[in-house]
This record gives sequence, structure tokens and C-alpha cells, in this order.
Amino acid sequence: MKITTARRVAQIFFFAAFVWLAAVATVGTGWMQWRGWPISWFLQLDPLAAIGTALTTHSLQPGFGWALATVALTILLGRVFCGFVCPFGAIHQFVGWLGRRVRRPKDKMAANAYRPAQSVKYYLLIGFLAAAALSVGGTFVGSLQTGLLDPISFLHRSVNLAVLPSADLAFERMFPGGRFASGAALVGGLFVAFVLLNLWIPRFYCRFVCPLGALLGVIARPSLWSIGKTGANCNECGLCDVDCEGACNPMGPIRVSECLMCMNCLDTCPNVSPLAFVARPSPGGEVAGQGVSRRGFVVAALSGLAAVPLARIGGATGKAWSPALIRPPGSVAEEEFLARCVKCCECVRVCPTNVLQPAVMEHGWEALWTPVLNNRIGTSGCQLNCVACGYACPTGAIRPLTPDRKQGLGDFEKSGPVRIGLASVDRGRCLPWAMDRPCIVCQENCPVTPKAIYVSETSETVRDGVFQVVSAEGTTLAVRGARLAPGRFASGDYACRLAGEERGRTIVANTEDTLTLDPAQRMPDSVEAGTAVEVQVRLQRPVVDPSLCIGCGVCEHECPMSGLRAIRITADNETRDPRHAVLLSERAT
Amino acid sequence: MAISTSSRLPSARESAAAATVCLVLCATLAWLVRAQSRFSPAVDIAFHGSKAAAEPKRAKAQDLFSTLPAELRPMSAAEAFGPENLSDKIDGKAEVYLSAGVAGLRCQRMALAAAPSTWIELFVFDMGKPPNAYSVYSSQRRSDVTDLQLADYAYRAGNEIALVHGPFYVEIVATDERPATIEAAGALARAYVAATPVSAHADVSSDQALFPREGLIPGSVTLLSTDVFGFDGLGNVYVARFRGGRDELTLFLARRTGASDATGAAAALRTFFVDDCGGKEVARPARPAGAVIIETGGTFEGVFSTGAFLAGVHQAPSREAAERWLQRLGESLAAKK
Amino acid sequence: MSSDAPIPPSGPDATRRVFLRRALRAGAAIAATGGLAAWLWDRHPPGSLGVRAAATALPDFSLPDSGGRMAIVTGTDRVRTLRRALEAMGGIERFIKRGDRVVVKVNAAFAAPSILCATTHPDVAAELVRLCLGAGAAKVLVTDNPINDPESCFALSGIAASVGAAGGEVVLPRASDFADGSLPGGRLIRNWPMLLGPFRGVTKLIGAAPVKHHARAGASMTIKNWYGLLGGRRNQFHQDINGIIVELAQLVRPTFVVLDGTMSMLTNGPTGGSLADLKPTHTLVVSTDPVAADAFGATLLGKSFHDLPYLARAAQCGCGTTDFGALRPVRADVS
Repeated sequence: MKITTARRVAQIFFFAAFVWLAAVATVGTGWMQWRGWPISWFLQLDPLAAIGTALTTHSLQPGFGWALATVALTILLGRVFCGFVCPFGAIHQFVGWLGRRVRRPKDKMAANAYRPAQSVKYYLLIGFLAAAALSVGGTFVGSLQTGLLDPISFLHRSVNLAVLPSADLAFERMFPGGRFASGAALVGGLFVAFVLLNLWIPRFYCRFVCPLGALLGVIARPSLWSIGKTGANCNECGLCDVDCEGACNPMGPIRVSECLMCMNCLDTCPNVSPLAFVARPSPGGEVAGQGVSRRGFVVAALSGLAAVPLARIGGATGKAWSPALIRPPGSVAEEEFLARCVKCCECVRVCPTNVLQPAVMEHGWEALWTPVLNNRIGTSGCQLNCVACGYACPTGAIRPLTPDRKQGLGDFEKSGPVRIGLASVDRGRCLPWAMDRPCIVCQENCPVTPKAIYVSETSETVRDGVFQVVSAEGTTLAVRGARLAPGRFASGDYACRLAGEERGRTIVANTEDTLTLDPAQRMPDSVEAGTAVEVQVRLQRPVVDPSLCIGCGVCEHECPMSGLRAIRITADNETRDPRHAVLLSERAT
Repeated sequence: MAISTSSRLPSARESAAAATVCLVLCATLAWLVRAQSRFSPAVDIAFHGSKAAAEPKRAKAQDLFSTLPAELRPMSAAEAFGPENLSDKIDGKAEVYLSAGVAGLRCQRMALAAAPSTWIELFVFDMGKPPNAYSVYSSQRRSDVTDLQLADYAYRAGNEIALVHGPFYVEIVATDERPATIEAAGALARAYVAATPVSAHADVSSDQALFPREGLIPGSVTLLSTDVFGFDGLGNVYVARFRGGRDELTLFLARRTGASDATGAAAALRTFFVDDCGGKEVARPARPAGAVIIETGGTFEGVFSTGAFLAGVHQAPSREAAERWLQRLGESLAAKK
Repeated sequence: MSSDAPIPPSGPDATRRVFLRRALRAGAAIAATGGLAAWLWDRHPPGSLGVRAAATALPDFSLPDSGGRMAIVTGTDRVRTLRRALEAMGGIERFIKRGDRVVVKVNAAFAAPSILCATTHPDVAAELVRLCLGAGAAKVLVTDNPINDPESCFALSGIAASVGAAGGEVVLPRASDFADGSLPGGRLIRNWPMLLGPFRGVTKLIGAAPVKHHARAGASMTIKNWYGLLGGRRNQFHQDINGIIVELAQLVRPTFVVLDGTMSMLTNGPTGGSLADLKPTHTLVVSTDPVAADAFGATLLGKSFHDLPYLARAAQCGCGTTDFGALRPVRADVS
């Protein structure tokens, strides 16, 4: 079997595995649901995420043992990850192949010539790693922005936010009721753009942009074997460039860091094995460098270093923290969150209620594509018993919780529940507070026990609700005043209060000019004509108890004032940051 | 024009490498398939819930009341239960209370200070309304008891004291019948009554007194709250056992809201006996007015209504006995109400 | 990353040697990566979700043999009353030794002129600095975490100028001066940012506070003065004002405190604002027991210690005694 065949099989395998793991990432035990599938496996294989988080947090999440394997493999064999494993690379390679099937070999060779611009990805890598490396002694935490261009994060994001939801719009099988993602157009657009760029230059992303490829290219420098010339039979025809994916110049001194180990050159070479997988250094000569000048290195590093304090001066992690930034339950405090989140949006994908959304620019550029709750989107707020997001996160930005820990039950009764925010009633918009209309959907739906929303009962006289009694017969009063809409007051929420009495009697029916009161509530023996009566509406007005509210957002989601909701969650009182605590007694340990 | 790639023959090394790659892929596939069978905790949790959440919160009550008698000391924390988890504490017996409208149970164990291995458990059932409390009290009344005067209604049966105090039905169960223990239980009962203010008291004596005096088996007056005689349309009925000669039967009476209500209840009960119990009307005695005797299952039921009362006899051994006791009951009601 | 020049091929023996060398290098690289990963491996289970455990805060600056002593001096000149009071306590040398690094914690909470007596009087601050330096202190730092802007507070209250003239150093709090601290067993002061930076290497702590009425706490005197060591959003603690003051009493054990009742703010505290709020009580107290000092200070405000719930609770916690008479304070007059 040829190695290129094996490579194609491997690419198909890993691509299929990626698509499968993305498709099944729905909480559940069905055959096409999460079960025990390692849905974050590709991220755990990713050494860029591993090294990035190691730099920002000075620790390595256990799952990144896989990334160690990738590094070891690269040290031994070169960029086989790029050639055999990376699903994003497979997409690029496939589209590029589709695009150039009709081209002549000469054009193909030209397309695969090395371009100095291929060093751009190394500058990007340097900038990202510099920004991450700014973590110094625990006082200042660097920023992890590798997720912006890390191919695994990029692909997860594109598939989770754009590809799967749009594909499912037609079938509504995977996401009954639809799936929404803010900023999906941007994510999807970037994905499509990069994929289409392969029609111009094959493996465009891999050659010019990919910081993981750059990292692997650097790690491949001491690799034991690589593609190289054996020194025999080469007639310098250059046909090895025809399908060269890495544009690494296999004919001449091969650029080891650019070689993606696609092995295509072995196939397109017309002669007998002038090219082979040889021990380093290649007898045909090799270029060990990456085309990064010293000056370029310094500029890239300084830019990365400078970007972080510039971001932090904006105060987003300090005093100007955004109250609308509600993070998933189990999230660490914001500075550490930004140091861990690789923007893969796996949490967004698994969230069963679709309430987790990627932030776009509303919380600053550092938070781009990090998860935030949006209680208006989705099927409910954050479900009480769900802990999915913590188990989907590969870097520990969201810690895995148990329901007991999340709700403050059992062993965690003393420390209390995890709060992600605090609900507050907008009394200017709430139906019972501002508009004399009964509601309390929020109180009904509050999932905690005892409820964090309780009601304050009151009665208000309705508009134009004062009348005079004309006559009374049994429990029916004929009244003079405005014309009543028949049946308007019969819902059980309205009462009629006679002048001089404290409480009203429930109105069970009304016509245009009569009110019929509840016979079970004793009427006075006689009601004189001319007695003033008021029609009152009985209102239960919601009040939030901040010592019980966990900020889950179900109330905001259910509020019938569906534009700007009359009860809204802000990130106040979130347990992940004691500086945001509202009540004295609620400060975290 | 494509370059022909199929003409190249791979070397043995290359084939071995390619084969290794395929082997690794197979191993990876096997690992993935195995991994999916070990559910992620996120999935487990979502589907099986958490243990603690499944148990309804047990309210951590303080000691049931603060003024314990000196000779007793709390032995365990007070527990509280609601209707939904009442059976966690008293198992099948919960049914008795649930059908009588129990609102909650609080209980606590107390040990004798002098003899810590002896303890008393106090059960306070909040029945919502005094009549409900009396109902469960009377329906569970043991046969060989000593009446006590320390609450609205109270008796002692061996190692247990039961009492009604307002809407509460209280049982005090001791580990033995030694004098010191009984003494302590009594003190506990008194302390409980003194420490618990109630606004309404069950007052059943007036309705109880409507039964004929002679033949009444003492202590047998019971208030049944629901499902009387198996008829779910009948509730809040006083029943009492009577003995006359060799006959033993049950008399019952129930106050309804008005005369029409009582007549309707009597008719409904008659229909129940005839239609649902396969009974047969056998007599309509002259007195009391409107009475009917139905034979069903070998015994005789009698039903009548007078004023706002529904009354009658239940499981009389003979038609004559049924007639006789119906008459006595009618007279007793006419005289006393 | 820099060598772009091609490496020429070489012969077979050299190749094998080179291969071995490279193999070793590759092996070393893999081993190094593995070792680094093992060192960084995150073994800790998720703790309290991002909140780090904080160290305890302040050492005990009180002197072991002082046993609670107090001096109450009446007079109109703060410098003279202060000197007399310290003499009565046995002299400043009893407290400050040669080489000590001293922090004088003043009340500089508001950017108000000293005449309004809402802040520690600059004369008191400066005299303390002078006396400490005279006793051989190596350095005297004067600090507070004000409510208003620090620079204007220290300037407008006159403290910056007088302390500078006396040879002391005003420390304006910067972000890096705050670190999380806890009161062991405390309920409120847990992982709370505190002004700990100026205390590095400090051996003696003196508190200096004016006598003021306080709308929420009843009075603001020597113990309430420690509120100025709290950082963060400390206004939360007003939800349990007595609780926080008691915890501050437990947390901070000074060498001695100076309670300046020369002009006591009787109404509209703690900011005051009018001379009409002040009463010329002409008394200054120096004490090693802040609870006793405050209990006496309450009398200057026309109250007793019963009116200040935090005092009895602080005494119960062993921070001092409300029965200042039992300390047998030395009384003097320098009018």
C-alpha cells in the first residue's frame, strides 16, 4: 500500500471522526448523542491550545496528554499532524484538489512554489504566544488569543455555530425548533472565505495563517526523519511540486518546517525514488529556518506583548466589568477565563437550551467568541440540573460541576449554590407593577426551592374604575358610570370595593352596566343607591430575593414582555468573582 | 492531464509504514467506540438527576419547642416532613393522615436525662383543622386506654400518649412503660400543650352527644373524614359502636349544611348501597320519617335524614335490629338537636 | 529561526553519526516536553472556582508588657496634650525603639480642611512623626485608604504638608499595595483586599483618630479608624457595621492609639462640614487599649459605651475592656 493511500484514508478517517464528534455533541444517551464520545478530543490533541494555556495559567489540564503525543510524533516524524490528522487541513486539501484538477501541471507547480508570505504564520504565532506569556507571578495574567486562528478551534466554531445549524434548518432533526448563534454570519463567512481561498492557492490557510502549523513547523526542526532527496536519479524536472501541499520545495533544499508530510511528491516524481522519507539531514539539502527575520520576531513579539495591557486598561476585567457578561455556571473569574478560553464554542454546542452564545464585540475584543448567556435566545434559561458545559470545555475555563455543587445541596449546602447573576425586576415595564395587569409568569417558573421570586399582593383601582351604584339585587349591582366591556372583569382577578369597606369582593360576571359579585362573599344587607364602588384589579407583584436568586435566567426567558424583558439578569452577585457580590453574607469563601 | 501515480510500486518499508498507519487508525476507532459507552458525567447527571435533589429538602427544624421538661434532653435533631414524603417516616400509615388532610409532620426523639438509653419520640401531625385532628385521633384510638385531661382530647395506651390539641394530632411514643418514663411522657405532653398556642379547638362533644346514650360502647365514637363505608361521596361522619342484647352494630350521624343537603346525602347513600353494593331495599319503617332499610351482603343498612343531619345504622345483624336502632337514633336526634 | 541557508549533503558514515546525534536530540526534546508537562500538570480538583485562598493579614503590634494603659489629658494645644499624655504613659521610648519602622494610621478619609475635624489633625500626625523619629525610629510612614481621592485628601487635610515637614513619609495607596487578607475565623474579613503594602517590614503601628459622631455606627473613633485599611468595595460592610468594626478590632492590634477629642464632632458625622457640628471637649487620650479609648471617647460625645454596640462585642472578643476606669488612666491638664 502506498503511503499516500494510507494518508488519504487517515484524512478521511479523522475528518469523519471530527464531523461525527461534532454531530453527536448533544446531551443525551441516544445513539447519535453525546453518551461517552470524547467530543473535545481534537482540541486535546492540539499542542497550540496546550502550550497557550500552559503559558497563561502555568498549569496543564490533564486532557492535554494527547497534545504531548502530537508533539512527540512531530519531533520524530515532522508535521504528520498536518498531513494525516488535521481535519481543517483535510478540507483545505480536498477543496484545493477539486480546484486544480483542471489545471495544467505547469500552473500547479507555480501555485505550489514557496512564497515568502508563508512566514506570516510564524509572526502570528509569535504574537499570540507573547500575549499569552505575559502571565507573570500571578499578578498579571496574559491573554489567550490563539483560539482566534487555531485551526481546531476555528473548525469547531465554524461547524458548531454555522455549518450544523444552517444544515439543520432544512431537516430540523438535530435541533428541533432551530438553533441560533449570534454572529454566525461572521463565523460562517470566514469559514467559507478560507475554504474558497484554496481555489486560488492550495492549502492557503495552512501555508499562510495557521499558527498551529507554525508551531509544529518549529517543533519539527529536530525531527529525525523528513522528506528528502536520496541523492540519486533526480533530473530536476520539478514535477514534485505539482501536488506539493506545503509548498516546501522538495526538489531543492527542502523547507522542513513547511513540509506537511502529504507524501504527494513521492507519487508525482516520475523517476525511481530520488525522493524518499529519509533520515535528517536530507542528503539533498534542507532549509531549517522559517523565514523569520530577527527584526520581524521582535516586532511580532512586542505587538503581542503590548496588546494585552492595552486591552486591560479598558477595565473590562476590573472596574468597568460588563454586567451583561453572564458566563456559564462553573466559569472561573474573568481574568483567568480569558486566559483559558480557546474560543472553540464546544460549550455553546452542547448547551441544551441554546442559551449559551458566542460574544461578538459587545464585551471587548478579548472576549470575542467566548461564551456568554443570552436568555432571550433559546428554549429556557440555564437549566437547574444541567452541567454539560463544564464537561465540554477542554481547557478548564468552565469547571465541571455536579448538580449538588451547582445547586448547593448535600455536601455543598454550606457553600451555597453557584450563582451566575442576579435577576432584577424592571418595575417600569413589568405588567403588574406598571400596567395593572396580572402576570407572575416569572415567579411561577423560578426553578429554585424556595422560589427566589416572591409576590407582594396589592389591589389597584382600574382606569376609569369608579362608579356609583344605581340598584342592587342579591349579588348583582347595577352601576352608573362608563360603559363596561361585557365580561372584562370576570376573569377572577377583579374585585368590587364598596365605599367605606376595606376589601373588595370578587367580580364573577359583568355586563355593560352591571357587576355580579361572588355569592360566597357575603354582601351587606343593603347597598344604597349612590354608593360609590371601585373596580379593583388584584395584582401579585414579583419581588426578587437576592439571597436565593442564582441568575439562571428562566424568569427573563419566560417574561411575556418579549422585547426588552421586564425582569433581566445581570452578572451581579455571581459567585465566580467575590468583587461582584451584592450581599454581605453571600461572599464566596 | 494528470500525472499517472498508479505506476509507482511502494517499497516494503513504505507498505509497512502505510500498514502501521492503518493499524493506528483501527486502534483509534476501537478506542472511540469504547469511549462512547462510558457515559460522560454530564450525560449521566442530566438523565439520572442527583441524589440530593431527588430527596425533597428536609427542613432543618429547630427543636420542636424550646421548653422541654427538665428530665428530657433532645436525642436527635427535629425532622420535618410534608405530605409528599410523609411515607418516608411512617411508611404505609401515611395514607391515614393523607386522606384526612395532613399538612405536615414534625418529630423528634428525646432521651431521659437520667437514663439516656430510654427515649421518647414526639410526633406532631399538623392536620390543618381541628376536626381533621380529631378524626385521625378517633379512628386510631386503641381499645384499652386511660383517658387523660391534659389536652382537648387525650388518652394513654401503655407506652403511648395520643392527644388532640387544636389542629394538631400528637403521639408520644416511649420505649417502655416504666413509671419514670410514663411520667416523663406526660410531662412532655403537658409541656407541648403549654408551649403551643392554638386558635381553634375541636369540639366534637356536641355532635357526639347526639348519639343515644344506652348501648354506646365507650370510646368508640370516631369521626371518619373520607370514604365512609367505601363511598367517596361521604365524609365527616361520626360513627359509634353500639351493643344491645346480642346485637352489635354501628350507628352513624353527620351534620350537613342544611336540610336539602342532608336529604340529598341520604339519597346518595341509598343509591350507593343499592347500585354499587348490590343491595336491595327491604323496608321503609314508619319511624323515623323517610327511613329506608337496605339489605346487602348479609347485613342491613339503614339510612334517613332529619333536619340537617344524615344518620342511620351500618351492618346491623337483622332487619329488626336495624329498625329498632333506627328508631332510637331518630328519637335521640329529635330530642337533643 | 534565522538560518535560511541550505545545508549541503554529506557522506554515509557521517550520516549515521549525524542520525544518532539527531536521535538523541529528538529524544531529549521529547523527554523535556514530557517533563515540562508533568511539572505543569494540573492535579488540583476545581476548587472554589477561581478564588484563591488568602493569607492572614496583620501581625500583632501591641507590646506584651503594656497591660493596658491609658492617659487622659485636657488642654487646647494638641501638641502639648499629646506630649504630656505620652509622658504619662512612660515616654515614647517605652513604645518606639531605635531602628523601628513605624506606621501611623491616620484618618484621612475626606478631602476636608483640618478645621472641620473630620480627619486626623495635622498637628497630631506631625508630632507623632517627630516623637518617633526622636526615639530613634528608622522610618515613619503615614498612610490611610481614603474615601475621596487619596492625593487631595492628604493634601487638603494638611496631613501631607505637616508630616513631610516633620520628616515622615506619606504613603498614598496604589493598586499594588492591596493584597487579600483574612481574619482567622472571621466571617466578613475573608479574602478581602487590604492595604498591606505599607506594612512590609514594619514593627510598630500607631492609630490616630478624631472623635466623631457616625450616622451608621454611632461613633467613629480609634477602632472605626481601621476601616481605612480595607480596600475593594468596602461599603458593602455597612450592611453589618457593628460586625465589621468588631472584626477590625480583632484584626488590628496597635502599639497604641491616640484619640483626639480636642474638638469632637457631635453631629452630622462622619463628614461634618460645619463648625457648628463641633464641640470643644479639649481632651486627648492615648491608650494601648483601643476599646477603652473608645469607651471614654463615647463620653465626650455625651454617650456611654452602651450606645455603641460594637464596643461591648469587641470587649467580649478579648480586644480590650470597656471599663476604662479599671485601667487607672493617668489624668493631667495642660491648659
